Amino acid sequence: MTQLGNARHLIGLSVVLAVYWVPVVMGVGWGMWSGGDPISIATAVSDSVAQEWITLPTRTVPLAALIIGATILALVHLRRSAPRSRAEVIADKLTVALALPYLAISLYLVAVLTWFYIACKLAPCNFLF
Amino acid sequence: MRSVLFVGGLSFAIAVAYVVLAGLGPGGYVAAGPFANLHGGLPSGLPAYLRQVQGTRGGGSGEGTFEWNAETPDAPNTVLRFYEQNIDQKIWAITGSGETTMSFYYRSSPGIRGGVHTLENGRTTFISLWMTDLKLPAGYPLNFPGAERVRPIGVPTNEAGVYVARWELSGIGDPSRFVTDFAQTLKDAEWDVTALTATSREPSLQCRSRSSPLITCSLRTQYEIVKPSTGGVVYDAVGRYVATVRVGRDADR
Repeated sequence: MTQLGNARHLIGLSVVLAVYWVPVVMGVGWGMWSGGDPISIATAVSDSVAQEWITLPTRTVPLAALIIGATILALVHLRRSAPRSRAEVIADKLTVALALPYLAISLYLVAVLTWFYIACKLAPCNFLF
Repeated sequence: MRSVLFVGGLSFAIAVAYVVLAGLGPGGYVAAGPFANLHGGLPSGLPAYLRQVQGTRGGGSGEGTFEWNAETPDAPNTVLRFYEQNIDQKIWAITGSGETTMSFYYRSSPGIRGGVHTLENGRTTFISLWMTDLKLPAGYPLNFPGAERVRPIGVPTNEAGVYVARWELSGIGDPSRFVTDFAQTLKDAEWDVTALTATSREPSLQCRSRSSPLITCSLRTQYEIVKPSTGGVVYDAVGRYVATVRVGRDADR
């Protein structure tokens, strides 16, 4: 049994990995909705993964704080010179590696929204969105 | 190995909990009956119209809805006669068929209404075969047709024998056209349209059942603001067209 106190790196990695499970779990849910047979589930998972990846940060805003926290903790531990187990180092490196694409897409969306906000501030956008 | 299982299990559990709590899944509505296992095909008992203009077939299904479209060189009358003869009436009960539309309901669950809508366009006819789970309660008049591309808002209420349903018309766009089309659907389903106002700001109609003249209906459309504007630089109010449909004894009063 993994001791919770010694599992900081595993919990951090789990939090970051969870965000990539979200489109898969959504796909399974919608596959169940559209019939529940293997073909429906496979199609729904495939569609969900294909459609959701670019909007993933907007779908998972509440998880973003946890992901940023886990990434910062992993980076802090990676920079420490104290001896650590190999598993811990690998988990922290994986945490950072998996968090980077998510954070990059988030930054891209934030940049687009900021640009949109500024553009609308300069010339009011009177439309529904 | 234990660590891998720990990370895999915990991350999956977090994702499941998140999808459920954030409402990103189907929300308890699991497909059954005519909406399940279609794989791009049609619900059982509803055949495709075979004589089509090449490359026009298409369709899709969503939460409680299904629609299939095609284009044919045949006249609407020919299309509707085909469906009258070929729909499996053990599964579907046809409640009306007229000049341009046909209406039916799903026998296992009469709250699911469907139909065939035809639109003549010069040399061809557009066909739309659709069904929608309108979440109608038991006792709702079986011969009152549903409408293509409407989505039910909540469950209809029964106010002193008059069923009151609300339909969202966002998939239709123009409420005037919706009311005009629905008037034709009613006529084809053996209802007399006693009043029709398609040009006003809030298009509406009234109708009377030919088989039970005491049963009447009224349908009124209006634009509803769901979320008012927050007053920011972007006008972000959200609204929708809604039809309020009343069916029952003296429902048109």
